[in-house]
Amino acid sequence: MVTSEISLGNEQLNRLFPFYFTLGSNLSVDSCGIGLLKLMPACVGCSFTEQFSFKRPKDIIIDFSNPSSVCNQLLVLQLNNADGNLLRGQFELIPSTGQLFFAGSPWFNSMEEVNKAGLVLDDFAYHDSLVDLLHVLKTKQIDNEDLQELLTKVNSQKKELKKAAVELNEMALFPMQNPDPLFRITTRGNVIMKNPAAEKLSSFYYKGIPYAHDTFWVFLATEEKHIDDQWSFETYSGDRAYSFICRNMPGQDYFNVYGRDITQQKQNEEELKRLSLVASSNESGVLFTHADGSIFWTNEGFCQLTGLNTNEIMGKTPIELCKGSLTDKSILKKMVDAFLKGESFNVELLHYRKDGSSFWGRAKGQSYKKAGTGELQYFAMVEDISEEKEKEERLKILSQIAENNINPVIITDKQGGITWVNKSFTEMTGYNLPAILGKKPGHFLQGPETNQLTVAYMRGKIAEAAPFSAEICNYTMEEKMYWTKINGQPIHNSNGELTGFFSIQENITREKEIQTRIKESEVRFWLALEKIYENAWEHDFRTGKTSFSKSSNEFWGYDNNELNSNTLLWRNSVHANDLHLLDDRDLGYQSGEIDSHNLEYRIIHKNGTVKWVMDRGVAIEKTKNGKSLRVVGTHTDITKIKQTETELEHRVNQFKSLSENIPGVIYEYEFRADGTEGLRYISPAIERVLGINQGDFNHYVDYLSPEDKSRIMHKNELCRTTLEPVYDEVCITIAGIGMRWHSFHSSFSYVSQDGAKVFTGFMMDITERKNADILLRANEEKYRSIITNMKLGLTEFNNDTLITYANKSFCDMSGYSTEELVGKNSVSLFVTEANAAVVAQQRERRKNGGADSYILQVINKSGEPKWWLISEAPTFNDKSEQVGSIGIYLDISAQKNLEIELTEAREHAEQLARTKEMFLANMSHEIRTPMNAIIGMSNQLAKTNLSIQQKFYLDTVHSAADNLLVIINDILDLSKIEAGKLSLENIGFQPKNIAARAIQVLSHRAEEKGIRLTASSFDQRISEVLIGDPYRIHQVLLNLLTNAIKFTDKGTVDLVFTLLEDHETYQLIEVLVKDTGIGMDELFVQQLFEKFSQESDSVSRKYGGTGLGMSICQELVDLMGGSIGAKSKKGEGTTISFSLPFNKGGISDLPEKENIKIKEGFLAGKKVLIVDDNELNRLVAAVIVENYGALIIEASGGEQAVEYAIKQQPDIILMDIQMPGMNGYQATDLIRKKGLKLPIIALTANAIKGESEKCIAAGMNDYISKPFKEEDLLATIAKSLGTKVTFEKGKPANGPHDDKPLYSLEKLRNISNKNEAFVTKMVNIFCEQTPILLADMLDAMRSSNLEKIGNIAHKIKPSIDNLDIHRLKQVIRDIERTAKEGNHTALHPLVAEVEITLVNVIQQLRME
Amino acid sequence: MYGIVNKSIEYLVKTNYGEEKWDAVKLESGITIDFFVSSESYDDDITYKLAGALSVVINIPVHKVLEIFGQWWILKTGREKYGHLMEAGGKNLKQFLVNLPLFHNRIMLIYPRLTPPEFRISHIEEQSLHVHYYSLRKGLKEFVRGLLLGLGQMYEVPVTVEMIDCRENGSNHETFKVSW
Repeated sequence: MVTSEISLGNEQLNRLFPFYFTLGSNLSVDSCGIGLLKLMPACVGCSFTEQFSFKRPKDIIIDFSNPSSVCNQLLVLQLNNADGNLLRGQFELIPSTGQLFFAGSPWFNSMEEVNKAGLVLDDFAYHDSLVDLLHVLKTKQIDNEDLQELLTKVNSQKKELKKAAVELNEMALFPMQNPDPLFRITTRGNVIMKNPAAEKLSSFYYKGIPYAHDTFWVFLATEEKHIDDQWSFETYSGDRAYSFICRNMPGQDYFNVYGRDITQQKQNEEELKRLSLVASSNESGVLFTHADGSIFWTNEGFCQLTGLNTNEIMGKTPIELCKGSLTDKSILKKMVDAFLKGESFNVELLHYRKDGSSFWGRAKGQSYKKAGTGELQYFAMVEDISEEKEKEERLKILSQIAENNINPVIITDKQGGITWVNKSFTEMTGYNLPAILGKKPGHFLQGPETNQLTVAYMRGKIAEAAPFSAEICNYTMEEKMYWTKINGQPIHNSNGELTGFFSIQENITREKEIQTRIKESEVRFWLALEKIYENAWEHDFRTGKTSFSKSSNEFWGYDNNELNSNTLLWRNSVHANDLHLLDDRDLGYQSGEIDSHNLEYRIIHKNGTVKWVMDRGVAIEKTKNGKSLRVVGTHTDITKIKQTETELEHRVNQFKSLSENIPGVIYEYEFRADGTEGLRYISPAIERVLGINQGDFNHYVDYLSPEDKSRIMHKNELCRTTLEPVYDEVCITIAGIGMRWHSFHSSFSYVSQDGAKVFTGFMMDITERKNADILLRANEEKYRSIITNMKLGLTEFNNDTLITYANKSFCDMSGYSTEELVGKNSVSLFVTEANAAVVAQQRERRKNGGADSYILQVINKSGEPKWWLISEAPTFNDKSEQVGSIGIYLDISAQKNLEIELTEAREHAEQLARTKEMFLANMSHEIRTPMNAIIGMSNQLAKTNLSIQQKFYLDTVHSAADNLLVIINDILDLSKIEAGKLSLENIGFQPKNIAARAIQVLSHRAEEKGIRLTASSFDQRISEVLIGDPYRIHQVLLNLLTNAIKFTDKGTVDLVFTLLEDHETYQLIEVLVKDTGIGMDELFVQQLFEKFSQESDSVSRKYGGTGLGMSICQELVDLMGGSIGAKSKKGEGTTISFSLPFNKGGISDLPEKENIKIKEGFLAGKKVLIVDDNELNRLVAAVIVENYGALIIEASGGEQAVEYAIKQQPDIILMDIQMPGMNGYQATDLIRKKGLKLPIIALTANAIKGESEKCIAAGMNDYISKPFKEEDLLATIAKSLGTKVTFEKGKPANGPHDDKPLYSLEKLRNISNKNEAFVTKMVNIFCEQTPILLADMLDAMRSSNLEKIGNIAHKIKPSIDNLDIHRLKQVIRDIERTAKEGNHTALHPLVAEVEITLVNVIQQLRME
Repeated sequence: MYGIVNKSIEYLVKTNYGEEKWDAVKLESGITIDFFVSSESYDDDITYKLAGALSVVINIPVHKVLEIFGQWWILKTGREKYGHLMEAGGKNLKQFLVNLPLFHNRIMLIYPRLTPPEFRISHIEEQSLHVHYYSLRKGLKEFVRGLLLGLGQMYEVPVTVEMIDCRENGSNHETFKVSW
């Protein structure tokens, strides 16, 4: 049996049970968890019972002798702290210590309680789910709240729906828009609804009792309750009558009341009732009779009229009842006749009452047919007209009075026709009544002198039925004129209707004659006034009327008709501002204060112009109290006088304002006849301008300086005699103000009445101008001084370029004196003919107002050429006309000479640079030529049998030559780059191959130094084919890697390719070369890419090199559009990184390389003419071609070459270009001219761009540069000769190849004791199996099966070792190791290298 | 996404922009749900549509809407609904943020149908730390930024939130540097 005991440290215990505690056997708390401490900080050491109590189960006693009493059950403990927190858990006895261990955790009902207890999540053990439970609880609570909210929402929507349904039902039963009133009344009479029409009914009148709105329905519902489903009633509300239909609503506690307005219907009924009432209550008697005249109905009126009762009337005829002794029988007959004929009648008859008294009654009767029966019946009405009859009588009496009146009286009908005249009328006019009855009085009374206006007036009044009063001229029947005053008034009957007119006349002929005489005298008076004044008028205060004398009043612009028809017109024409004058005047007259007046005021003429009027008047009629009743007066037009006055005043004001406001003082100075002189007038401005009051300035001479004073006195004297104008400027000194400059100017004005000659003058303060003048002069002086001190020449010219001023500096500059210069033409003095045009052009600019600076070469007085910087600007007079120019000159001959020297120096430097380029080209040639020999010859030498010692020497030579070539190429590259002559390829290449080959080329060098050269990472995202210059990239890589290897003594040199950016068409690639070498100082890193930079001499000595490598790298990377940088730390290594952008390419973009196989002896019997001035070069070429069976002809110069070409008939010429005498181009040209078409191949050490094109252009067939590779030379020769060579279109092959064989079978041979069959067999097996393994490896690579890759590498490793495939020896081991490490990324370049190399090896093996 | 998120958006809109704007947001989003139940699970798309519609209605960019919503979530929804729980999360911002991963692990248990984001905390300094946010949902990183800003406001600490890495940059999660 396995027992496991877990012991927990204190920390663990706190983490797992933060609320634990242990109890000792004495029931003291021995220890407790950090959580519990937060709740009960001081519980340790205390007694359990003090700190805790059992909440559930209660009444537990801890008995250590019987631990089970508390163990094995759920306990709820309450802490005796302030909050009484609960702990939920259990006890366990710990046998080893004898303590009770409580494991549990606090119990809270909400997170709020947790917070309150001061606990946070961290205080609980992770396994403790209390907080989560509380969280769940909270979530559930939120859910419940949500659901409650949702329920409330649903319920409210349900209610809304119900409400809408009820509303719809209501709308049908209780249409609120009904124009008739609708009510809903509860059975208790409460109105619960009513429509707007019902709202208007505030009270009801029902069954004769008025009800308020609320009491009515209560009454109706409770008192008049109906058990039927429907009942109706009628009632009034306000002035409207309504019919209401009440309908009980089944199942409801209310009934609806539908009302209808029946007012019109009721009105019709009422009207009918009223008519019958009218008939019965008529005061006149109303009778209905049968056709025989017997009365069958009468009213109360008839009973009252006759004093009979109904019974006495019924059945009798009206004649029986009312006929009396005085009743006119004829009229009675007329009535009876009409009655009998069934016609209507209207008669006035004396009716008798029952008591015998009588009354005049008008009886009107009319027959009608009884409805239904068609019986003819009579309706008659008897009206009491006794009063009317009485009035008629009274009229007759009045007529008598009129008849006897002494004044004539006329009565007319309402049309004016005479109905009556009295005796006086007939006596006065001679007409009797019958002759004029019905005629209008005017028709026969009026004559030529009758005023038609009066006639019209009377006619108007008559038409209006208004009273009238008029005086009119009438004529008697004998055509004698008389004046009469008529008072007429309308006559109305008792109904107020016009019946006619009554007029009473008075003869006033005599009064009229007296009036006429007075008028004539007045007219004469008016005529007199009219002649004198524009207007004569008369105003009558009693009538308020004003009359004017002239019929056409030009003064007002209105004629008298207009003025008379509108009595206020003239007054309204008075200027509103002057009306008060007239009002005051009138008041004066009326109060008696004045009895005449003389006013001036303005009137507005009808045409709108304003006129001034002089209004004069006098009272001609007064009351006894002296108050004026009538005033006459005249108007005089004084407009012109007023205008003149105003103009004058205006001018005076103008002058005053002018003299006070102009910034100067106006004065008059007089030379009196008595010989004295002085100021006659001085404008008040003197106080403002000079601060002196007018009086004080009379002694103006006191303010002048003695000098000014005597001059002014002298000038005054001259003025007096010559009267010439005078101008002067004086300085006036005033106490408290100081000195002020003033100008004054006066001229003779007039001779005064007292014979004084008066000069009018103007004086103004010119202090500021004076000060400005002074300042200007000072400034001018200052600038002239500056110009002089700065050695600047200054001249001024007029428009003819004649010098008007020249300062001293200019004299010094030019060598001329001022006298020699002024008045001379500056152009002819200084300007050479060559520059004349420049100066003319500048002068032209000056004419157009332009200012400019220019440099000019001039000749000074001594004839020396000088360079002047000239700045010229036009000068203008105060009318802005150009008057000349001003010129400032600076002699810059020294600077100019310096400038010329600088230009020469620059040209010299450029020449030097060109020379350098030439030198480099030459050097290239000069160095490459011997190098060609050294390398070529040592290659040939290596092919011979050499002793070990010799081989060593030769290797050394070879190595030194290689190094030297690198140095030369570096220098050459650099100069080519600098000269911009390095061209870049733009071809497809495989970046993976570039990386692999760079490693391959240098791996042996790394091996030699015992360091690891790796390509640890090649980013698989890099495009398989990129477009760029693989050779230059290779060059950069080789350079960097070589450097890295050179400066690394132990450790690794690593090459890393990373994709930085991947775009649709291009990629940005970063290449890192990291080493663990000696590193560099930070300072040196900064200048790493500078030319010829090596960290120190010692480095240079130890590691060699030109110090150009990094610079070339940088230039190349720059050229390719990239950037390069370095990071290094002394002693820790260096990382050089460069990044380059490349366009993405495809397999089709890769160039195909032709692998050439040349058969030995392919030149057998061929004559090869080698032309070179350098014997060594000839030798190198000769040795190479001789080995392939060629016959050699050598020429040391161009001329010889041409000669041999003709004579010896070679098959091919190898032609050097740069030779003394005739060079290669010239020789070729000549050869071609001789008609020779043999191939000519240029051999040139000129590695400068464009060389090949030049060679082809010169007629050569091909081109090869020295030093050349043997196979390149042979291939070129073969190609030119058309010799069949094997071209193998191979796999992409860019970048240089490692010269070292890929593999060696030596090891196999050694193993097998040179058993070739074994070797062949092994090779065959290798060739068969390796491709399979390789394919598996690539598969595994794709599926990232690293283990498999490792296994395959392990399998291939022995074959690689046995075949001595040196390139892969390390690589295959790296793969094995990297695969184990699981570094997939690092495997890519390694596997790629294995693939490429093995395919090459297998290919070569198969060919063997 | 649980209904409580959508409810919170609704609450945010109604409180700050009024009932009418909420109606406009619903109209714009095409969402016709009248009532979100907090513990019901709703399609994530609804939340994105609401945020997008809000962006259109109140004319501020969506990322800003999410940031505002994050702050609202902490300061209103979190505080009002889970105030005490939030309070228990830590005595100060730093403690709360350090507890954040634990907090979300707990939430996962409480809301079984929720796929809560996962948080990790690193680079804990005196005044800053890194919050790593792992989520299956995309496009809520600005919401997280808002949450972090909201927490700063809750603890009344001026806080800056800088996103130093995100899924757009090739990482598999977002990293925020929270400094206070």
